[in-house]
Amino acid sequence: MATGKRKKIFIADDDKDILQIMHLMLQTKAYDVETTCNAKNIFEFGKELPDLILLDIWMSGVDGREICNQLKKNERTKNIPVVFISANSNIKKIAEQYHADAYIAKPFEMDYFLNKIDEILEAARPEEPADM
Amino acid sequence: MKKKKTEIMLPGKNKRPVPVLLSFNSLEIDDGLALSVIVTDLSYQKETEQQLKQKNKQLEEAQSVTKNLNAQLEQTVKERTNELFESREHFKFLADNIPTIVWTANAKGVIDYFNNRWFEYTGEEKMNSANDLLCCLHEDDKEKYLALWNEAVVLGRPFEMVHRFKKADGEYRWHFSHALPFKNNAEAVTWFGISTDIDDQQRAIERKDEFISIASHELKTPVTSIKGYVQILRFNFEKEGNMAAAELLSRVDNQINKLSTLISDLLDVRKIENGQFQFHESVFDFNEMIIEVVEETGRALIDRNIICELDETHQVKGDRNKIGQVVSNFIDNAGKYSPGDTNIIVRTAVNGDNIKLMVQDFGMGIPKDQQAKVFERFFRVTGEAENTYAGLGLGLYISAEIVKRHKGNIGLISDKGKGSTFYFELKRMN
Repeated sequence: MATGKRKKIFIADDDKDILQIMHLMLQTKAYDVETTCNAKNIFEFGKELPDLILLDIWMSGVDGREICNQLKKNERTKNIPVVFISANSNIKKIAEQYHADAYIAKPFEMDYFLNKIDEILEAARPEEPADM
Repeated sequence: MKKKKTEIMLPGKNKRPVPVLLSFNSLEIDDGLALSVIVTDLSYQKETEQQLKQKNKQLEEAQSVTKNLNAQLEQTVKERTNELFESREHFKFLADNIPTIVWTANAKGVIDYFNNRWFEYTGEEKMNSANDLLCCLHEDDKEKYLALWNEAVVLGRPFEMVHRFKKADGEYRWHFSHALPFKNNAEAVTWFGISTDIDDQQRAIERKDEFISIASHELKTPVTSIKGYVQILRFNFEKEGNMAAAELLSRVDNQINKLSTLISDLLDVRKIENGQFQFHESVFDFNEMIIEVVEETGRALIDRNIICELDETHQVKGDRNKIGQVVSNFIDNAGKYSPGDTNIIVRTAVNGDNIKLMVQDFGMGIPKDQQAKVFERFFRVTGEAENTYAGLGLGLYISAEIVKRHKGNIGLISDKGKGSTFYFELKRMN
């Protein structure tokens, strides 16, 4: 990678198996992964913001659409690409409505999943500060 | 002067008696008496009299017939009035004792009657105005209701709509309203309308839809996990060089994909039924899409030989994924309904302004009498071997809907025992 730094991906999903699967898949591509099954923690990023957020839509107690809305409204997080990842059959429409950057429908192919994430991170790069 | 008259019969021509009038006049003159006799033929006069008598008799008879007719007419009018009254009473009795709202409207569509059920439902005591019905409609239904009703009245065509009516307690319940014009000489005279409470059914449909939606989401979740773990395992086995294990896992993966297609089909059918089947239009390369789908679908048809014979390609406007779903469904079916050692041929052909895709198999074929039904919901080929073919019978129904929504044609050419060719045709661009 140009910066020499590993990209950080944050995943929020209330299904622990699916969190583990995405984690394992992303590890094959040398990404740093942080996961949470309680999406309420999503705004506690600390100093370092993730490069991409994978967000389930239908989580127990939390609405992924609302989280996307808040992320996109927040000056600090609005440029982080958000990808909806859900078994909801209206995922495409929801992604458009809530200005998510992309969506991945469950169940997904591992190749498709990894390619999509590469693609989004690649596209997001020009918006980052120029390399020193 | 003295006069005397008498009528006598005198023999006339051919000795026929002729009535005559004899008039005697005597006049005394100076030295004697002058006598005159005038004989008048009365036969014409008598004849006329006779005719007049006859006419009078006829007239009397006619008068008596007219009198009778009048009496009968009066009786009939009386009976009809009674019948009408009875029929109106019957109608009201019937209308007031059925658990459905009934109303009538005049030729202009102005409501002039509601049955008891209406007053029970709305809590009104009497008809207030011709707008009573409109006042009870849900705000969101008013515009559509008026448009449909006015159109029906103008064209004299039946009216139909599913809408909400406000109950006495303020609750809105779904109703199905249906009105027919009672016509006289092709002109609507009276409208008869009924509004049936279908709220329970409507809610049941909503619950069913919600259930399917939740069920499919819940089914997809474990499928996602199984698929994910299987793919990671396969990736690891491939890395270690254990290709046999990787191959087995790819077969598991194919089965998971089938399961996932079945879940999506159920959802698609629900969406078609509810008119929520949405399309995402784009312009795409037809052959490119076909090659992609053949590759993807072919992976699941292990050991099957799929031959591609593609004509020149063109751009097509439509939902790429959904059209791909049709192609995939054709290839899947071809694989399912033909022996493992036969080929599957995928062809495209440019035909004027259209571009056509055909998928041919050399399997059991479909008998002529069943061909029209294959695009119906839940259709499955029947025969001795029916138990060996899995599926819900939704794939071709969904495919037909997709092609229809792209304003294309879908069809098949098949002979029992000689295989089938399924095709669809779409408008091409440029």
